[in-house]
Amino acid sequence: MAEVKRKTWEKPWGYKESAAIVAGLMIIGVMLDMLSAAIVEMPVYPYNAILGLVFMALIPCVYFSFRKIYVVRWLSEVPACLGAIVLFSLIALAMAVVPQVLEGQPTMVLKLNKLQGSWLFTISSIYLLTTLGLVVVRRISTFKVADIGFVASHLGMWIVVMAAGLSSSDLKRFQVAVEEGQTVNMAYDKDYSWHTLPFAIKLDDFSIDEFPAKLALVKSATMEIESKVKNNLPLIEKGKLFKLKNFSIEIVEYLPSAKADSSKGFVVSEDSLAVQAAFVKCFNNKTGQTKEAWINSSSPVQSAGVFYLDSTYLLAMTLPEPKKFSSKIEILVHNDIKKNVLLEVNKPFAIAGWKLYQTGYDKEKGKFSKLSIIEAVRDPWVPAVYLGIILSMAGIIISFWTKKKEKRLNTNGK
Amino acid sequence: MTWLEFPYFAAVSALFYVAGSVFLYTSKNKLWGNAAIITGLAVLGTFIGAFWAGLDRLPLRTLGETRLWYAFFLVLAGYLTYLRWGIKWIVPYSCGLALMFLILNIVFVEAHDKTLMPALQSPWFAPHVIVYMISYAVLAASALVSAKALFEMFFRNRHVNDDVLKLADNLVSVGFTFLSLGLIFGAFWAKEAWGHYWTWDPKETWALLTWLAYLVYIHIRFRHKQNENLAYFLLFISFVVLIVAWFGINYLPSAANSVHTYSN
Repeated sequence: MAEVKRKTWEKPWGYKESAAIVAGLMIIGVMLDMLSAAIVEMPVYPYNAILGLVFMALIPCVYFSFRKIYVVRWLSEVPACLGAIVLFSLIALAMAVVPQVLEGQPTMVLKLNKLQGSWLFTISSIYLLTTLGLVVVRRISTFKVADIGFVASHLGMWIVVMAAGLSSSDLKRFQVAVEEGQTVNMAYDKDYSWHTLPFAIKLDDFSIDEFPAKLALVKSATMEIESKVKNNLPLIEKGKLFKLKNFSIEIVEYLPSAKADSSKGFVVSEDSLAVQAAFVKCFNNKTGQTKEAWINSSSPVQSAGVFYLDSTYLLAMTLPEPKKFSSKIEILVHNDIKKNVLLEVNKPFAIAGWKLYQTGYDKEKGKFSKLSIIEAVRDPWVPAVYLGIILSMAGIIISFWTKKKEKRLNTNGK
Repeated sequence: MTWLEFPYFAAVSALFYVAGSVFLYTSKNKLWGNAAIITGLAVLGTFIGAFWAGLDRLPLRTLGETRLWYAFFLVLAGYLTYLRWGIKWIVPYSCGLALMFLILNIVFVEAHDKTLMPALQSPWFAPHVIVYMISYAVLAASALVSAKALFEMFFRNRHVNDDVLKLADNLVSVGFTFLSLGLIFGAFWAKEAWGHYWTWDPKETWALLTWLAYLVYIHIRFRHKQNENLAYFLLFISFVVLIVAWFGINYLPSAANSVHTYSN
């Protein structure tokens, strides 16, 4: 089929025009970013909500009032949408390659390391929302039951991008550092400025469950872990046998919670300052000698115990890794006290429109930390974003399913 | 079961994969090929199960562990494609690719690390990663389709049958659905573990790029059925992006502060 060559901007528009529009938007974005070094910020509630509603109302209004204008119709077609997706992807690609930094840090040329706050990103998002919005309106205006997957997936995506974009100014992520026994209602943000929370947190208890320590063969001259086994250190376990270099090592006894004892070496202890200890037997395959000794992890009152195997090597425990850490807290909110709240990683607690997360502790003190770092997050837009996500996913699944069915009908119809 | 036993299971499983691929082409009785592939899958599946039990945690933390699942799901995806659409050549191709991953795991011995950091101890962990592995496996099958078609076009100057691209479309629609699920499960999990569903973490951004690349493919196929070369090319590029998202990212400067670099 011979295609008649058409000039750029001669209708019907295709990919050349789409690319030209994308290029134009990019130039505008880049110029704005060059002119203004400031980070683009979304207005806070309720202005962002009003902005969102206006934009949402504008799309069907524009579509129904001006659909006779070619551009409006064209913006809801595949070439325009693909242009919008590609533009957005290019910016995402830049974000994926250039490490993105926090607001307080120095900005690269064209805000390359803070793209989320650039005009380029903002314009690209608006273009994406415009084409996607017009697609949805067009499909709804000619709605057929068969379109339900299409409408749900596209409308869902539109809601996700819109709500996530609008939420950026209302999202609050604060860190609360609280010591055992203290009550705190102040929190700091990522730029270390302080904020007062609408509630106070009292830390009753912070605790860490540890994995058993790992067994490390260390060069005594440099105190470095033997490199051949470095990435493969075994967890200490009673009865286990290990072969490290020319040493055969047996873990005769392992006490996950122990304290030093003058006659027995180490004994079981439930003390809060308890350490991990293991009684180790070592057979030196070169000399035929057998030696045995206790090794242990350290605590504020107990130094780490190592085992000198020969003149070159010693055996030691690594710092135990945390298995679980949690804070038992009380929350004081509006003259009310919520007691015995347990915060754990992956198990946040919701209160007064906020969500509290266990995020950290004093890493240097490890298990003996009395400090708990709790993150308080407020994002009133989450329900909208989740609604969009679920709608979109439902749409994708429905499209997938109906596509299969269509195929089957087609084959049957042959 | 630990990585120590892995080479034996891998070897037996690989043997069945290869035998199955050969039988499918040479033996008149389909039973042999089917039985061999299923046995190969069962052997590798048994190892994964026993390895899981021995670790006391889901073996999906390190790259080596994800390769293990991949070698399983890839062959499963290829085999199901063969059963569903009767495409025979996809079986030896996916077996070959799986073999490569098994060998990688034998060459680069993984740490037997039983520890699992608290952030990963979540009910979302298994669905998030397994769904991704299934998606990656199915999309790899679609990449094989494109690689074969591109090879035929450029080196043999032959045009492949239209059915091949239809197969690719089917694989992409399955893979894309799982990819979307993986992305969404990841977002829900991130909200529970790190306080926000999307933070433009490098791994997230690459996962989004992968999703966008396949999204472009789907739209091109929706509108321009006739432009097949472009479709094959896009399919290939999309898979390259996927590979970067999966492990290439560990070599990028932006990954330094990613929450997803667990392997070291």
